[in-house]
Amino acid sequence: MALPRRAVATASTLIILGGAILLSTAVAPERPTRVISMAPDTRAYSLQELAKNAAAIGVVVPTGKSQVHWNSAKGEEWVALPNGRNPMIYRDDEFTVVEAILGLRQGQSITVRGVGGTVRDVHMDYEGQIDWQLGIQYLVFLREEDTPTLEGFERAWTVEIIGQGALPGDEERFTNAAGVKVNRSDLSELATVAAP
Amino acid sequence: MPRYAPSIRHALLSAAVAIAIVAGGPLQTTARDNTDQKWKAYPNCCPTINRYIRAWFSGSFPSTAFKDRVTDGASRWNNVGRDFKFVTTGSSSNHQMVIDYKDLLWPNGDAWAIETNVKFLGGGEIQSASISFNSTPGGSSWYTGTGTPGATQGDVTSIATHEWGHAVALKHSQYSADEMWPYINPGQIKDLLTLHDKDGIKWLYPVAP
Repeated sequence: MALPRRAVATASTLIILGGAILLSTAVAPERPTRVISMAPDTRAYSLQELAKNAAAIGVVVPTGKSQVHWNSAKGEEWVALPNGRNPMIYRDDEFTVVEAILGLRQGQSITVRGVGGTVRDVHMDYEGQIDWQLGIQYLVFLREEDTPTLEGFERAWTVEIIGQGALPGDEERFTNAAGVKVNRSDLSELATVAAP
Repeated sequence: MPRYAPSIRHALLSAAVAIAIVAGGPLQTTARDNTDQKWKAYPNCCPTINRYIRAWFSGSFPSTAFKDRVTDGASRWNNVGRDFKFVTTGSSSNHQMVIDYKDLLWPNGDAWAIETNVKFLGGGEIQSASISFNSTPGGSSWYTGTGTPGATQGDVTSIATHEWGHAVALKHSQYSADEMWPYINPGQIKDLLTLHDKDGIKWLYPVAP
């Protein structure tokens, strides 16, 4: 006995969609239930200040490799300490140097630490952090910082001044959120500003 | 064509939708778009306002004037006339916010101050918040008067006003005239709300009862 076509179609649709929803629930990352929004406020730094304070300057591209973790050895959330160290979600992004200006080598791989991301059920949003995009070149002003952890401090490369030291580029120039602009043709001059 | 061709087409379409569901996973939180979070209302809490937010000055501050200027910043937002009111207090009892003054570490070592909101999804309301002023703000000092700050001084009233803006749930603005523009320089005074700043909280909060 032939089954009605409409019944077959409806049954197959329900089975496939139901399976998909179950599978989605099983394999999807956990959805955050707590959101911590942080908004730091600074003064706007000039190009000269960014260059003078930098330990490394270069044009980099994100490789897409990234690790997001709580700042403790176990990778677990912890309780703030009286000495000012706080639980934070760190994001370690890997980059390739495509043009070395100061303290970097062309082709070098470098990991830069920022703040923000999701670990299990907690999302931390830190305003001013760069949302690194694959395929985009960034002019970066980096320095090494003692980044706080539960156990103490970890030395890590960081972008200067909460994201002001990262300038996404187009074909002609690099520009940051505070309005600092650098023409591609002027990149080589940055080394002289940084090391007078 | 096979007899059940339309059904097969239907099934294939369903399979495509299913693959999209699996690949996309559940809806992700758009955490950057936090302007939809606001303080919880406590009906019948207080005679004139439903969102009565007590902010506790925790620890030591360099002067009473510093705390006075922080309170001045809160009043800028209170005066807009929406259904919330910030009240600063020296008492830790029944507070929703903490305000302190300390040496900020990376990543906030260069910041004037940092504001933090915590909310839980589901209810969607802000549960708690804090404002920390940096005792060593990047080579500058603090101006706690009501006149004009010096060329290397950060104006407490201006910066506090900005921080209260975050506390009321506003993000940074893209317009440099706004209080919520993310940068303020030494010697600069910026303690008046623009129409754009006010529109942000008018969108979030109903008119004060």
